[in-house]
This record gives sequence, C-alpha cells and structure tokens, in this order.
Amino acid sequence: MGSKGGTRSKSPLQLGELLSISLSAVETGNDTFRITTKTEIDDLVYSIRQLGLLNPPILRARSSDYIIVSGFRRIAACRSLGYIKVIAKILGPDISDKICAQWAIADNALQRPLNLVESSKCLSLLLSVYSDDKGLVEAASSLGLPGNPDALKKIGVICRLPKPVQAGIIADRISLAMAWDLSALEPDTSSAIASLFEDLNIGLNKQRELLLFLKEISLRDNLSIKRLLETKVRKILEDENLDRRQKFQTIRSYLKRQRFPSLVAAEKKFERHLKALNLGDSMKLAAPKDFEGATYNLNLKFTKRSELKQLHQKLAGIIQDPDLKKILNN
Amino acid sequence: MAISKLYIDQNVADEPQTRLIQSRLKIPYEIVTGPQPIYQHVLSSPDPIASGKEILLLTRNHGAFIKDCPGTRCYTCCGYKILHIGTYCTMDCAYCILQSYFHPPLLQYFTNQGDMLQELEKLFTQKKIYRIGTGEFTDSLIWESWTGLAKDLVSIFSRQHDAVLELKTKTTSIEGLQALNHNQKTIISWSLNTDKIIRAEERRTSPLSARLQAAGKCASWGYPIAFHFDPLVIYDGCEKDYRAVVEALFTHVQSERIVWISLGTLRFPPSLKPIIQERFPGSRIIYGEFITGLDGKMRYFKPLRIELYQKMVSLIKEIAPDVFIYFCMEDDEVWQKTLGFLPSVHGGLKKMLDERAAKICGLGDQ
Repeated sequence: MGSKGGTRSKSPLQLGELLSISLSAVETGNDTFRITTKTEIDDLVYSIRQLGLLNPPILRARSSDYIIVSGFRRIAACRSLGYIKVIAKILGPDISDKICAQWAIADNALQRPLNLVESSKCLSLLLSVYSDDKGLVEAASSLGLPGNPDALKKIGVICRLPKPVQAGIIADRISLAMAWDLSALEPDTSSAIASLFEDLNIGLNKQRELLLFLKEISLRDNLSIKRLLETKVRKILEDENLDRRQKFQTIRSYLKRQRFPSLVAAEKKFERHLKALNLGDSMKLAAPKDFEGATYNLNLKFTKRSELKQLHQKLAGIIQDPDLKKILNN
Repeated sequence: MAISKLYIDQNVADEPQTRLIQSRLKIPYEIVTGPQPIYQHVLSSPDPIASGKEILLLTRNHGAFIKDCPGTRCYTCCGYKILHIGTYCTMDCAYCILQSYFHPPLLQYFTNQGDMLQELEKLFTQKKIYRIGTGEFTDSLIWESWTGLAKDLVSIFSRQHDAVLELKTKTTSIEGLQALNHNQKTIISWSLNTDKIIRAEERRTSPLSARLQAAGKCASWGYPIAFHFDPLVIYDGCEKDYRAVVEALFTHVQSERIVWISLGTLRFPPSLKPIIQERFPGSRIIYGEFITGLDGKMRYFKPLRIELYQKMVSLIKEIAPDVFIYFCMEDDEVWQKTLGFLPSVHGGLKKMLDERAAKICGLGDQ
C-alpha cells in the first residue's frame, strides 16, 4: 500500500483504519459514492485552516490509488490549502460496494439533514447494491432514509432528473410531488419547466396549474411543451414591464385561454356586460360557476335603510338594462 | 377479449343457468366460496380493468334485480329502470364509466334467475308503464352466446302489456332474437358513434356499419328499434362525421320503426380521467373543454354541448321530422335551446318516454 501513498504496516487493514494518505494518490473524478450536492468549499477551507481536519474523510483503497467514499469537499479543501497528506479512514480493496455505500450514506445522513437530491443519491447507491426490496427498505430505514416503498420510489428518481430540476429541488422551489410529476417528462421539457418555475417563483399549486395546462394543450394539439414555452410564454417572461406576479397572471391567462377558449370568451363577455351595468361597490353579481347552472347570485351591501332604498332604486334600473338581459341570455 | 377463467360461486353451482353456461363456455372453472380471492387476483394484476374482462364469476345477485337508473336531480332524468343481470363488459371503451364504477371491475353474471323472474312478475302486476333495460351495468347482448338470456327475456316481456324491455348494445349478437314472438315488447337499441371514435376509443366493439346492419335486421323482424348517440364527442370535423352516421342510420332503419333517439355528450367522473390516460394513452377525448357539472361529472362547456345538440337535432329532423329525440341527463336550458320546449310542459321526460313506448310498443293494450 505504501506505493500508492499510504503510510502503514504490512498487516491487513482494519475496517476504517486511520492512515496518512498522500493526496496525489486520491482520484479526483470518481463520484460513485458522492452524496453531497454542495460544491463550495470556502467554509471548510476556513475551518480546516483554523482547526485542522477534524473528521477524516473515508477512502477506498484500490490497487494503485484511492477513491473517495465520503469527504469530497474535505479532500478538495485540503488540496486547496496545499496539503500533501491527510489522515483518512481507509476501507480496504476487499471491502464490498455494499459496505462502502453504507459508510458513505451513514457519514452523510447521520450527521446532517439531507436535501431531497442527496436522499435520492443515497437511495440510488443502495439500489445499486441491494437486489431485494426487503433488504433495501431495511437498509434505508437503518441509515435514516425513508423506509416507505412509495416514498423510496419517488425519491429514487430525483437524482436522475436533469440538473435544472435538481437545482430547483435543492433550492426548495420544486417539491417532491412536483419532481415526481416532472420525472414523467422528457429531460429537456422538465428542465424548461423548472426554469419557468424559477423565473416565476411560484408555489406548488400554481406550478401544478401551469403544468396541467401545458400538458393538456400539448397532448390535445400534438405540440411539444417546449415549443409551447418557446413562443408566447417566453415573450411574457422577457417583458421587462411586468413583475413576477404579473408575469404569472399573464401566462396563466394565456394558457387558460388556449386550454378553454370558449369558456374564457364567455367569461370575458360576462365581464364586459357586468362592467357596463356599473353596479358599484355595493352590488355584486356572480354568474353560475362555469355558466353550467342557471342561478345567478346578487349580493347587496348596506348598513342603513336609506342605503338599501338607494340600492332598490338602482336595482330597478339594472333590471331593465339590456346588458343584464344579455348576461341572462348568455 | 376471450374469457380465460370461470369461477362459480358454490351457492349457485346447481342453478340451471350455471350449468348451461359452464357447458357452453368449455373453459377451466373453479368453485369458490366467495369473491374475495378473485377480487385479490384481479387487483394484483398489472391492469385490473383489463384483467376483470377475462374472468367470469357466476354468482347470486344478493340485491335487487330491478333498480332505478342512478340519475341526479340536477339534470333531467328519464325514469328508467335497470334490470341488473350482471356487471361489466368484454368490450373496452376508453370512456366507459364501468372502469371506475366497480371495485374491482369484474365480469359477473347472476344465475339466480328465479329471483329475477319473481321480481319481474311482481312488477308486471302493477299494471304501470315501465321502461326496463339491461344495458346500464353491462352490454345487453355480450352474454348471448353463453346464456341465451335475451331470448328468454324477450319471451317473458312478450307475455305482458305494461312494460317494455330495452336491450342496449354495441355488438351484433342478434341471431337468437330472430323468429321470436316478441310482441313488440322489446326494443333493441344500439349505441352509435362516428367511425373515428369507434376505431380509436371503442376497442372490440362492432364497427358502425355492422351495428346498423344488425339494427336493420332486427327492424325487419318487427322489433322496435332505438339509437343512442352517447357519448357524442366533440373533435375537429365531428359534425361532418356525425352527419354521415345519421344518414347511414336512416338508410338501414326506417324512421317509423324507431322508438327514440337519445343524445348525450361525453361526460365522466373525474376519477375516470387518470384511468383513460393510463389505459388509452393515445386518446384525446378528455382534453376537450370540460367543466365540472352540477353532478360533479366532467361535461363539455354548455354552449358547446348546445351547439352540437342543435346540429344533431337538425340533422336528424332533416331526414326524419317525426322521430322522437331526447337528451340523457341535460338541463332545461339545453332542452329549450335545442328542441324548443321543456319536458315539464309535456308532463316530464318520463311521461313523454312512457307515452312514446306505449304508442310504438303497444303498452297498455290488452
């Protein structure tokens, strides 16, 4: 082992034995066991400079070098500080992938809360080493991961989602439920939608409403969602005169008009006639929902008999108004 | 879809109908003490809705054989009675509500028909007009090759004068109906749609032309005939396609033989939508302009329904001005704007249909 930069006796390695390892012997590009989504190392550089490396990283020995099992950022920080050697916990070359995966997960999951992408990476690691569902569920539970098979299934897909979607999940813009919905779409489509959600900064219900419009228009018109987003929606997003809330409202209205053209036209017509009636603040006329029922609802606001009398007179005029007739005749 | 396995509830194992079906089906069978293991088997399959079409359970109807049609008070119901002979269907229509109605969906046929006959006899003694159909929880004629039930029912109804049986189907299984003394107390009716909808959304049903030919044959055997344009589906070019269907209909059946034609646009409970998406991924019918109706079902936005109904009524009346048209589960506005009257003016839809049945089928004549 000395040839690959470790300092130790010739006796067999103990599991997780501490050794002083040359950093040049640690492979940099192998992310097999990487769980953390964080790449910045400034905080660690500062801490290590002040206090030294408190928790040794975990490395797996191979024939001529080491790969990182846990401690990717610690290794990067030590390199950035110009360290030549570090003390690391070593897993020998004979240690199975399953044990390495468990160490990687335990070192992350049992020390800090994981975000959904990290949980998904943990599950993905477990999936690669467990062939039976029962073993997988037990291992997940014992390592502090969700043990519910449905949750495992949903979280498991996250690490395979495109980077923009994962970024949305890490930033808490995209929930597990929405991530699951997006996992059914093509990668470039889900990326485009994640980008839309980022631009609009909207919550789950509004995200769901837009996604439903987009999916159903796309299916009905045989037009890709990406194409739908590239046209009018893109223009709205780029409109500098609108703030985020206005952009959402404009996009929502546009998509609703595309999805329900007749209903939206009827709503607009109703609004036009309603405006022409000039009811004021003390009267509110509501159409039946989606114009399906036959009952209109008129609400009057008053505090005194005199106000009610005034409303009564106004109402008499409204009853004769041709715009009311047009409303009631649809 | 062929039935691959027959289960027999031990309580009906000795019923004559059970033995008849067993001998005609000639497939492996198993006697069971209850339906639970079958339900579990169906539910554990990858597509329980398809799986339930391959398994037939012969069992007892533990409830009533004659039920009220489950209409809602928000829309005008026709006061139909259902003769509950069995559940589910071997055909596979995208929009079929039975996919989400039964939990799990399973082909069941009730062989305690002695009880059914008793209920019918009791109904007949009331001397009131009833319209009774077997095609609500299943297709009326899919059972014919194994049971001959329709043939028996035609005979039973022919011997009384106050009720009319409606056999509603998308099949052409009419051979057993020939040369029966039906006494015009059985209406044979077909659900019709455009070729495009039949091909895309109605798996394993008979083509339109075959349905119309079968209707023509039944008309020639003297049966009163009915047609149901239900569900009418709105799509680009649908009006032209429905015109073709209406024209074809009247080339096969003379309008005088038609008791009624019903119209109903596509509607479905929200729970059916994900089922259609899953089982019929190529189907586009659920992406129309649907709103939530007063009964909680998804329906086309009302002006769109009215527009299509107006065109359908106009097409039908152009060829057959006197044919009786009604709407299945629609409101007063739809009636007024399409047919120009409200059912209430004529005593209600139930009365109108009863009178129509009385006139064409000779109900009340002793």
